[in-house]
Amino acid sequence: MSPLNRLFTMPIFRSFILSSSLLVFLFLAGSAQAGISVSPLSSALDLNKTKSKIITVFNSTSDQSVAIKVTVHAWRLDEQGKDIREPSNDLLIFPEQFVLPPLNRRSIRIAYRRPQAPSIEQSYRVIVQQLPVDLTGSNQVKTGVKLVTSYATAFYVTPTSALSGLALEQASMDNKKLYFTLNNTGNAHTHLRQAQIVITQHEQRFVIAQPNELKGIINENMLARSQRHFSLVWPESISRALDFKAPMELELSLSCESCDTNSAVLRAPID
Amino acid sequence: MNKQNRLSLIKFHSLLLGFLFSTTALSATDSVLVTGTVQEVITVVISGGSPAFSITPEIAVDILVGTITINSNDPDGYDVTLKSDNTGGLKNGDADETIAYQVSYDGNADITLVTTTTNVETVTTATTAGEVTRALRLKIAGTESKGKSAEDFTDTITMEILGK
Repeated sequence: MSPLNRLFTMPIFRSFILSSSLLVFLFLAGSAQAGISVSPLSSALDLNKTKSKIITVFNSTSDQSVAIKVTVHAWRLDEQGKDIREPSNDLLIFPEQFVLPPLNRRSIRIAYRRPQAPSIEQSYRVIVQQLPVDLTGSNQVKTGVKLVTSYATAFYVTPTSALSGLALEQASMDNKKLYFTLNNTGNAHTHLRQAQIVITQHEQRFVIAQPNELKGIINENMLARSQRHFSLVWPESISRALDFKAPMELELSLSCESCDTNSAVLRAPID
Repeated sequence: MNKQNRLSLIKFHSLLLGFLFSTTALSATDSVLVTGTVQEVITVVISGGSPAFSITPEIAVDILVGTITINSNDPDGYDVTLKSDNTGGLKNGDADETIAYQVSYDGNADITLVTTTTNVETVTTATTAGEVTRALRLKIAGTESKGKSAEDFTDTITMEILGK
């Protein structure tokens, strides 16, 4: 008997193979609950260019079908940036419900029901939701939780002349935070991209530009005709250097995707 | 080789050279612009963990119910929210008994889920690129399962990804 054959016949080696196979099986069995891709997370429908847009859903799970439901809500943001949604019939969606087999993709077509472009951009949440149903047919109830995913995509119907207009309405502060209010008086949304804040005091400029310092401001969405309040915790180095009793000015600069210029610099005295 | 044959050979070589030069000249000036647009896509995979588990009365539960892997190339980032169909409780078949639980997302403080969404993460462009992995743990205090019927208790947790 060759040394290899002797190895295979050894009880300890057979036990090792058996236990390894079991571990691999358990790993694979527990490793595929659900996996869905949605593309894109944000779409804009320009009726002058096309009548509909497509959102693609892909089931990346290799062994499970998933049930998908698609719904539409009119969408706005409150002053703190929280979603406010209301059911809407403005958009036509096909299909609204479907079963997606493993490793399959499906396109969802979305059209605007009205013939003409709106004068003010209309914003919606198109929600692609995995339904908590078991399609394996077992329907066996077990103690625990069912984890499902849902994608609230941003969908805009743009006006013919889309233009956002940002204004810094007011700024105030205390020794912990800076507060300011932004207004978008335009008819289209914009994101606060590449935002940078400069505080000017006694002819000194204090720059706040690090993404972690600007969390909650950078890339935030200003929907058309909306107002939002923002706050920012003073970075420690700036907090130490500022005189909180002396006058100071806030300068907010950012790139603007739908403004009449590519960038905007907004200024306001801090009360 | 007579004069006529030599002339023919010269003509042939001239034509061949001319052809080669012309094709070389053409290939030097021709170009094809190839463009491709990478679509924004977000993928969420929930894997591993034990979404189905056993509860022994009066014994606390602290269990990994899923590992969430998010892959996104959206430059605007996204928000992650969680909500529970049963307001942070596992309910039995008749929905007359509840075992309250809390969850911890990515090692953060325990929270009680409600039927409306709770924001658990905001991702901005700086951290968007690539893949992030988040653990979702579920915790039940031992007192919660005391005196509960011996049957299955369930809830549905929805993780919502919000585009900006």
